[in-house]
Amino acid sequence: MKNAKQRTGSLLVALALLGAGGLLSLMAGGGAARAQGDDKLRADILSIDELKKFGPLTQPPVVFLHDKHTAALGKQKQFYKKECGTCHLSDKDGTMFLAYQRDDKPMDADRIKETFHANCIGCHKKMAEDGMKAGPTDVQCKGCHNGNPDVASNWQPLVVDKKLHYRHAATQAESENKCGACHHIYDEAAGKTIAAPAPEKVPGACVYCHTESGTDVKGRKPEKIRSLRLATHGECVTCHRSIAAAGGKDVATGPTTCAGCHGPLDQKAIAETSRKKVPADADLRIKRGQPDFALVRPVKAEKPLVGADGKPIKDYGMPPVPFDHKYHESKNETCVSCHHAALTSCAACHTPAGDEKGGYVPLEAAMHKVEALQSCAGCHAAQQKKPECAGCHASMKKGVGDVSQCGSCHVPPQGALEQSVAEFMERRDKDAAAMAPGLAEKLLAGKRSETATIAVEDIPETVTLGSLAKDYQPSVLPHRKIVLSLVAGMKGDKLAGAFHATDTTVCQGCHHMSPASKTPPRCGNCHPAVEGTAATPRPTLKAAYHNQCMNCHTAMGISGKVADKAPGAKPVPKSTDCTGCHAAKKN
Amino acid sequence: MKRRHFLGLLGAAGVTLTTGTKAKASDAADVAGLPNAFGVLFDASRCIGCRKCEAACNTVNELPKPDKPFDDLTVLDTERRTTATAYTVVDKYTPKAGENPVFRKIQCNHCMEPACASACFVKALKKTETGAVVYDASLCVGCRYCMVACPFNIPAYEYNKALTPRVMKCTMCYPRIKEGKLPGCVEACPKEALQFGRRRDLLNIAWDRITANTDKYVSHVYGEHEMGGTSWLYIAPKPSFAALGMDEHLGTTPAPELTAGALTAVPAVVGIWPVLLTGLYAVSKRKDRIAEEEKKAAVEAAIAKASAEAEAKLAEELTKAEVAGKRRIEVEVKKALEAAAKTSEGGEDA
Amino acid sequence: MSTENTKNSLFTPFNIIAGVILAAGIVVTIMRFTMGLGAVTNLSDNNPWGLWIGFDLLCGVALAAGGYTTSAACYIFGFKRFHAAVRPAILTAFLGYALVVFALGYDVGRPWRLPYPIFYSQGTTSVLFEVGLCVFIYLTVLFIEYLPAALEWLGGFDKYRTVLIKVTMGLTILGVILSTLHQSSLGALYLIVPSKLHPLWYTPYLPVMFFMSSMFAGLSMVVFEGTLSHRYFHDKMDDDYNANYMDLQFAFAKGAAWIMSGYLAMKLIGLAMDNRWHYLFTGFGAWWLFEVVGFVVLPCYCYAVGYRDRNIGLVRIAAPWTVIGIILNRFDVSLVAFNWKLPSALRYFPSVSEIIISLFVVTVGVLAFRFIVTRMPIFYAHPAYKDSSH
Repeated sequence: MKNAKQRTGSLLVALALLGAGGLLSLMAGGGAARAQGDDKLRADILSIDELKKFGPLTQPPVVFLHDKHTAALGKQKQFYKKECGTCHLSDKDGTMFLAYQRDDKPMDADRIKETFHANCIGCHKKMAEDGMKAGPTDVQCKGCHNGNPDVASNWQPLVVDKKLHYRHAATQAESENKCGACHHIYDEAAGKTIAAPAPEKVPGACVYCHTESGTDVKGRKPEKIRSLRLATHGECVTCHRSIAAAGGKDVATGPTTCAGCHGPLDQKAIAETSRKKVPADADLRIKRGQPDFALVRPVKAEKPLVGADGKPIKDYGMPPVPFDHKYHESKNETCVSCHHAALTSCAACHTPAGDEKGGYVPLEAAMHKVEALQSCAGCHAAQQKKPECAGCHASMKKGVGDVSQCGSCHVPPQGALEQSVAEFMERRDKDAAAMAPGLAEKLLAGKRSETATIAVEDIPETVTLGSLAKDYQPSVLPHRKIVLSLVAGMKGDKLAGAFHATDTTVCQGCHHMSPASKTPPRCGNCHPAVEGTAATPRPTLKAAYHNQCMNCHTAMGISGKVADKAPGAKPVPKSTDCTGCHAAKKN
Repeated sequence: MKRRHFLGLLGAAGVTLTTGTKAKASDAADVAGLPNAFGVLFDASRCIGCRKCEAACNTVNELPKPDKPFDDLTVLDTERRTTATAYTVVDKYTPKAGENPVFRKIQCNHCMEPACASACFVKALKKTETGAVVYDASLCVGCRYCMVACPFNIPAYEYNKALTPRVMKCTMCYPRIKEGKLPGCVEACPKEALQFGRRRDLLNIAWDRITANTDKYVSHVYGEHEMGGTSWLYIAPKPSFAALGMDEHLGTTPAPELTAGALTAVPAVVGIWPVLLTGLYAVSKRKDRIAEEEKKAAVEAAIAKASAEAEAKLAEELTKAEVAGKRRIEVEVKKALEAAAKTSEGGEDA
Repeated sequence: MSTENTKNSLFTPFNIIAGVILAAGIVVTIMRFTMGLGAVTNLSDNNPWGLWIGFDLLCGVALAAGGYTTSAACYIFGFKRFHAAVRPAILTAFLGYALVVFALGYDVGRPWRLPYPIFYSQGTTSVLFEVGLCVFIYLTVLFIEYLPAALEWLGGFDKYRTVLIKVTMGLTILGVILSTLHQSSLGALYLIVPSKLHPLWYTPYLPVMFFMSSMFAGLSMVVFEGTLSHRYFHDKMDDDYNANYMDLQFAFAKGAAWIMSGYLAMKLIGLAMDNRWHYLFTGFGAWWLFEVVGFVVLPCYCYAVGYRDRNIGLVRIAAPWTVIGIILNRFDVSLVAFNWKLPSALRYFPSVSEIIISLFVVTVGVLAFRFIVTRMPIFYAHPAYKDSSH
């Protein structure tokens, strides 16, 4: 009976705690958001969750801080004997495995678990015994399996941009085969990878072969192609380390820590060093025998077309697209920006109808898909997000929405070129390939490289918007200033120049949906002055004015800020600053 | 339909307090098909947070002037809701840190099948054929169930009036709509972030705008289906409506349907309970009666048994008495005979 | 503290406390009807219903369920021996409902319009309409059921009394119907707010839950109140009442235990149906477990053990425990789990004035109860009507 009473007592206590706990957490209102200091943002977080592939985890993954471990072990004497070998095994050739305390052979769940538990805790214990600061030594799971870590990742992928590539190439300037120092190819005869013998043989970026998760190629030896992660850590970090080991502390080499490559601050430092080290006049172009110009061949019927009457039908196809390859190289940091899977022509994977190799993206979409940054239209649409462009383009349809734009890329050949282009389209042989660059250059010759508009004196200086004036005085628009500053924003932009093909193209940013002209129709011609109770998609005049002006100012990021540097220039009014555009009426 | 059921069963229960009244538009079934209902489309990507709509609403509805004037935009820094003196408020949200804020106008959404109207037990709130949900203060008891029921937390109450408190909420400017005018806020909006029109037209406009700008807008018209649809419709820039403080998990069930099940259970209870209970009563009564009868029988049996036993005993006693009597007589006779014999012997000696 | 002994002095501790509460209540009442709800309550636009609905209405109605459960047990289910307990239960129910309506007079904005939904403008799509109508009719029914006691006390209304007694059976059935309807409808009130009520409490079964819990609330209330009455009004009770009193408590304990286990099953089915188990691991989950384990499972167990072991002490502990559980449940639905998504700064907590009015209402109830049982034949049969079975 006493026992029962005790039990009831403890049950009641437990209940009270439960109730109090519930009430307290209700009061707290929602989960406790952790304050995150900058020192808690790290690039070296490894989540040890290898048992995930064997089923749901019974414990939260271990949050392992790699740099913290290397730094701590680096202070130890015996670390210099074993270095990475303290934690990582190597094969007989001395190649280190990236996994912890094991090779790359598959292991079952129990052994993986045992490997971590025995070695991690063992090492911590040993260090603690030796009187050193060590990680958790107890067998309480939470010490390592902390589901609520106080650190967060700021890991960034590392991009080897042209400057970084230049710096790496420069280190090999003396060597005979400088590309081969890093770039390797698989040699079937040798059954292993060898250094790429010549620039043209370089397959391109690492990611072309070393995919995110690695691949297995049947019949190849070895069958496994390492994942990008294993390949880059295996090659880059090893190289950096060996240089440091050979030359000592004074020889400049690349980073070997996680944060060194993947920390945002370190990446900034790398960019800064590149800026200093790479001469301003250096030729950053990565030369691999690529053409300066190319002629992109649109989809064309494979077989000659034949009509119902048996007679051949003339194929009026799209003209090819002249492409300034060299210029585009200069505007992109890596080849991967466009050649996302291989340094071949787009059509090698993206067939006209689309197939498995090209992810079922047909050739047409590969060029025009707005959502894809690798496509022409997608990349150009991304350029339009720059503040200088966004004023007009934010509210315009992106990509190939406007069919009148087709000719901007598919340049219609004029005069003598017409014949050459027709010939190019007919033939698929080597001669056709050879004539492409020259032809493309000629086709592009007519393109503007600068945006231009009508003569300054033809641009009205001010425009007064007063038809709706009621609560405010009419708004006086500094029309010419606006046009000129828009054009000034496009200075030196070849892309803008090529696409703003006529003098009135720029005008159409505001004077939209009506024929381009020096004297476009008034806004009120289309936008009704009074809003009715029947909803229409076309805004009324008041909304049209406000939308056009405010949206542009906002998209260009100039609202509420000084737009030009002239002394005494007034800031572009904020959207909510009514009197900034039209003065208040005096009553 | 629920109403009729309910009345029907009340009749069945013999409660004839209410009399059938003319059908009103507040009946959910009649409202669902309001093809010409008006609505307002709010485009959060157009709203600049100028509070002109708030000012217009205040003027049109002759509400008291606020402490801070409408051109004071610092008001937007705190999250607000509708109150008894503000039928509409604009709130500021910053979905992505460092980017431009996005604004949302809050007011009554004028549900197609309003929770408040279905919750009102005096029909003070009703959905009109214009789409506006309007309130009649002359009927209101002030139970505030409408405020509890509203999934959007819109109706407010005049808590500081002692005797004549009213529920206060946007009327979609019902009187102005009737005159062919636009609601105050819509008329005042400089950017047509608010657009008035027939709800079905607004839906088309909304979807056209979304499809023309798929990378800008969330692919959803808020209010098209929420809680069975609302007359006020919303489209918003990415990432989500939740980023504008809007509940994206309201579901599509109209509020009246949520309580319809409970109300349709009423006839079942009124119909079945009396039968069941009377049955139970009968059973328990019968049990009582049977128990009573059994008791009576038992008593009778007991009495019968007792009297039988008594008779037997009497008989036995009687027999016993008889035997004893006989014996006694015999003994007496014997005694007499012996005495006689003795007397005769003695006589011979004398 | 027996009331009979206090005739000499008005200043007993009970009277002093009651007096203070009454005085404070009257002050708040004046404030309420001169300055409005805003002056005396913490109600807001986000929290339109507070303590006066959560406690006075929801708990009041649930705890007054003793009326229909006892009369149903006695008249319909044939537990004739509990006959003596019917009148106290009916009286409690009548006072309970009267006070609910009385308290509503504070809460609604224009209390004089309370008859509107019934006589003037019927909002038949509203659950609240159903509640109002049923409460209104049921209050009338309870009044009629209570009337014989008053008539016996007044004397000289034998004819009317006889008529009233004859319709008892009908009234009882009507009472059960009305109770079923409005007890469950109080839960149905919250069906309309799936987005505002925490998923652990929101379930389509809310009406059933409210009805079931009202049954054991009523049973527990009768047991609890009986225990209290025995302490304070023992001298009023006749032999019939006393003879069956323990028996009744055990029977009600058994009934309550059964209904509570059914209720518990419903709670769990509700969770399982919508797969809401994961909410149990949140703060609200802990609170839910506190309510369900602490105030349903445990008292239910106490009732069951108390009945099995004929341990009247345990039953008498379980009764107030269950009553607190019911109050907790109604608070959870109407206040704690309601508006759970709102930031805590916007959540509701009752003001002192609201608590005063709730206490005031309870005090008025207790005083009325005391007034009636010390005068009218509630705990005993009136000598003149001793043979009557009513």
